[in-house]
Amino acid sequence: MTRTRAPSKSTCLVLSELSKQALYGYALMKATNLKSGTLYPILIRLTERGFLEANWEAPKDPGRPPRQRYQLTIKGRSYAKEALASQASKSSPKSLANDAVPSKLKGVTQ
Amino acid sequence: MPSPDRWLQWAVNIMPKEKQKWLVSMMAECEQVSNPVERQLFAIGCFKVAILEWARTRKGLNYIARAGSAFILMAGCCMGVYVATKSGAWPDAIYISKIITGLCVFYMAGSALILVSIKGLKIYAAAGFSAAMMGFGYCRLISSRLESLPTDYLAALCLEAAGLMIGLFFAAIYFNLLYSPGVDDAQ
Repeated sequence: MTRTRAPSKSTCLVLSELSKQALYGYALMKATNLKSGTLYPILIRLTERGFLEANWEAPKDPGRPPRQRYQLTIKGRSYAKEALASQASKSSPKSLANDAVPSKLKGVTQ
Repeated sequence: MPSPDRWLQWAVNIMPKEKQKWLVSMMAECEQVSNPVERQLFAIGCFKVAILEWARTRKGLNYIARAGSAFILMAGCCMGVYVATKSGAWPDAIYISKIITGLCVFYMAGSALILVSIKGLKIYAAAGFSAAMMGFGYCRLISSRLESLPTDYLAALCLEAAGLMIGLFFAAIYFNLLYSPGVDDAQ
């Protein structure tokens, strides 16, 4: 049995960035301002639930290891839409003014 | 402070096998980080991920549950001893707390032993030790010549140890049957 609970703000941030484009882990860290210790567990959970797929890509520079690029699956896109919409609706106008996260998500859900 | 490579190596050792591909991915990303401080933080983050993923495994949860329950029991016992010693209102509390503290120590030691070396345990050693402890406990129960510690307190410790060792003994038999070399080789 799997638990279904509302995604965290960090998860919403990741979903928000990935719904714009597929990204590498480090780029995703930069975009979301999350640390690797926070970001990767989210990526692992999303992949396990089938919302995300990770594709290995050959390195551009020789001698570098191949990297994984993350993108939302079809199921993940609809999940992201729902999650971001519910996140935006939960946030009150007051918290929208104070909190950077919901304001960021606002543009994605529209 | 350990180097990023060292953090990553520790992460590799801890990460569950089925999640190792994620570490490969993280290590590849770590290569992309040029700033040494950022790289260090990235590697520490990878180590944290490995610990979190290990904690989610059955083995990890087992360790956490046992350690947590032992810690709570020990903390309760220490508080009991402290309160009983300070107030002196209920002398029996000291005695009871001492017994429970002893039980907790053996609980932790036994749990650690079971978790760490169950598969490599020598069954006969466990059986012998449990028999010896039970015998010692029984002797202490019926004898009151040594007065350095309350007789019942020592007896309780020994019987608890014996109980754990008996549990260990049966667990060792079970695991030896379950994970015999033939079965491991076949898998």
